[in-house]
Amino acid sequence: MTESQHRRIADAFRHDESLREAPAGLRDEVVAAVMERSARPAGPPRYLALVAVVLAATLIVTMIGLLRLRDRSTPAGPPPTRVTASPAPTPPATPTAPPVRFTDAHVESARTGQLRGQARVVFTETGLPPGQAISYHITGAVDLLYDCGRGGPSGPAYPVREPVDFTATRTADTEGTVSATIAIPPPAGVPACPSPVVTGDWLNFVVEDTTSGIRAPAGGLNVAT
Amino acid sequence: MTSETGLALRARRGDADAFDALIGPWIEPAWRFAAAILRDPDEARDVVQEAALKAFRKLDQLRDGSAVRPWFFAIVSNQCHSLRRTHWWNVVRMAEPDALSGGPEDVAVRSLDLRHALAKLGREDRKALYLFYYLDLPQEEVAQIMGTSTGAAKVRLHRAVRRLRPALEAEGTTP
Repeated sequence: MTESQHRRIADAFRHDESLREAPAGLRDEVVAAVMERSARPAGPPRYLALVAVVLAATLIVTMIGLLRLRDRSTPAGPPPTRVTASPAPTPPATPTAPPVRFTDAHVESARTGQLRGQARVVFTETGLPPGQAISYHITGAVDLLYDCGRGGPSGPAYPVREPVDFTATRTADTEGTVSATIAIPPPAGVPACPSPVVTGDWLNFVVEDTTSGIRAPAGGLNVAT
Repeated sequence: MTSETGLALRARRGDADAFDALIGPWIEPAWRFAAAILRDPDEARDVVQEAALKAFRKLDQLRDGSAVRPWFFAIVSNQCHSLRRTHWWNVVRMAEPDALSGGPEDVAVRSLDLRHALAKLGREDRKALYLFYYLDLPQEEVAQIMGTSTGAAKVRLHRAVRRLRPALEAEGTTP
């Protein structure tokens, strides 16, 4: 480092400084501000502020803790009742809710006194969740004779022997009950002749609640004219 | 020095005149120092303000025989450092073209400009050069202000000058 380089560095700083002018009254301003700020009791307010911050933080943490405890205890409320029932967890639920069951299931003729190959399954199921849609699977069989001559000696007669398998959906009422009368659809082999006389049997009908898996035999119906 | 200690004692009791007599003479030099380091007059003003308040609160550290200038400048230096550290836009500002910059066509000229090279130095390098070459402070005082050992201050100065050397040599060849 030569003397001239030393001088040039100083000149560079000096040039920069010449571009900046010190704020007027800076000395008085700084001294006055310091005395004004130092005149305030610097220690206590700082400590008080610190204490206040610590207290506020403690309060917040405590409140958060209490809220969490409450949140934990809220869901823990029901468990105590479960805990008391825990020796037999499943049985207590069963007596309180009525069991799902069929109280009635049978097959009847579609029209009293006029058997034209139409029958229907009638059933009642209770203990269901109110408003729930229940799907039923109905099976059975028919062994029928369709007499297109309406019982006359010369009319053609057609036997129909088929399994029956169909589904239907019903919605439980507010009591949790489904009372349904579901027409059994005509078998596929039914002749097209108008108003035949039908004799025979609707056999072994079973109604199954596919939601709960409960089944009820609906029996059958014999038609003999 | 005894008078400085007495002034410090009176200042601590709230005597504004004593504080002014003690620190006042160094307020403007401290502002120039801070402005050279920060390259921002307004920031320099804030820094000096805060440094003066800290100095007031540390008056009890002013011992007999200790000079006020390096003590106060050290506080200013630390305050500059704190300010730079707390400003998230620090890097952005440092990357901005400085007041010396001209148009793009001057890039070649500015690369040879010593003042521009100084402006591009890091603040610690600039601080050391300012104290040693501009204020002509001894290396021991430079070290005291910068809060380092004298050896570290020497190394800092050496490296800073080495960084300036291309500009110094280029300027030296300019007619």
